Amino acid sequence: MSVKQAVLGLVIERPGYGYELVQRFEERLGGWRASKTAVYPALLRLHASGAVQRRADSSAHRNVTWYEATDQGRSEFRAWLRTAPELMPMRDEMYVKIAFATVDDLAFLIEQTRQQEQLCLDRIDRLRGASPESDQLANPDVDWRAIGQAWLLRTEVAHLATTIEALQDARDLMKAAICRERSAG
Amino acid sequence: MPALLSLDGVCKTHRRGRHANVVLDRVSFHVGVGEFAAIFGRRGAGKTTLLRIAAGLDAPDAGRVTLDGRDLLATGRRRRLDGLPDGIGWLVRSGPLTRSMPMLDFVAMPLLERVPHREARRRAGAALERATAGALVDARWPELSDAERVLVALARATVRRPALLLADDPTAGLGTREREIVLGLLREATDENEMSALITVPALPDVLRAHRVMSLSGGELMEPTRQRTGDHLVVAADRRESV
Repeated sequence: MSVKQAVLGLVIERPGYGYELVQRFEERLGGWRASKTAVYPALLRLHASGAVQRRADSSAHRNVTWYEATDQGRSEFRAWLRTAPELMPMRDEMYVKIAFATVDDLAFLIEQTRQQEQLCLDRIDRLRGASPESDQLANPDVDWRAIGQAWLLRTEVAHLATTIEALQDARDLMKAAICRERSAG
Repeated sequence: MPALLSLDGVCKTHRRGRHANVVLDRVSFHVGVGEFAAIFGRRGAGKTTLLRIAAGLDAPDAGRVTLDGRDLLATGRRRRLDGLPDGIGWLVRSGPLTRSMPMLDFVAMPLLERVPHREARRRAGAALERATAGALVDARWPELSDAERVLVALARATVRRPALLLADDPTAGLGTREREIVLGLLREATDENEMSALITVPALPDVLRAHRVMSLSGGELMEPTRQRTGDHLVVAADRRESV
């Protein structure tokens, strides 16, 4: 999975130019921690492979390059959508640190769990309020995009919640390990 | 946003024999007027202890709790029969002892201390309406679904029009849709500036409606960076040194 498919999805939804696509990427997939700067290289790769085509637009006194999906791009995207995805691996730096830490490192790692928890809370703080109203989702006329967007938000928050719990759990265990060490010494 | 509820350096330790468990360690935060705040934490993290102290039902070992600038535990502060100070509502999810009691009377009960029966019933009807449970005035507790019970409990907790509503895990056992309704009602009530709310939750996706989400673990309360005051940062630095 790369940013490439996400950018192709955006261009298929409607053609766009670089900056506008970066904004839409953030709006539609804000929870995904992919870098916004990855959108431009993805566009270049999609263009090189023939999945999107460029269209210069100098109307309204603006000189921007628009990107639109080609038939090849649309069919590649459909094929990707229907292929089973891989399970996301756990590759957070914190897991590796905790796995290889010695008791002497734990005080530093405890502080790092607090910093990470703070980042999670700040992230939740930014996501709050972005969820569509429940009444809106219960409306039979609501389109799938709004439901998908709500699901994405919930999933992101659930992921952050799990991360916070894991960090708190690690902190409790590390504090207990330090206490044991002190009483043994 | 002016502060309605303030906790400053609140500490609480539960002792059982020689064993001491630090539940709250210098916890400081405030809930603003019209704010809907949520505390997230695992089972046993101290959420209920914190909420009971915020309600003035339990005293902290150290620290200060104020509601609207006044000490919550000050002697002479007027209390209701249920032990709550004026201005605080507590959402309790248990029903009446008399199983045949209509929900209108159940919701009206907290008012009877100070309000005539007829007026209490009128206000109870309005509270049920606000909680989208107007249809349940004649219903009996055993007939209600879990979701309906929460709505009735919400009506009962807010019938005295408290400035602050406290609720310990109000969405436990509810389906996604029911949870959204209950949390949506809380958000609506706070947005209209009728009251502030402080709730605890064991699952974060439920708190997207809240204005602010804090986490509680190992006695430490954390909140988003934009909310932290200088005092909190000092406390955090102290704690770091003591691990």
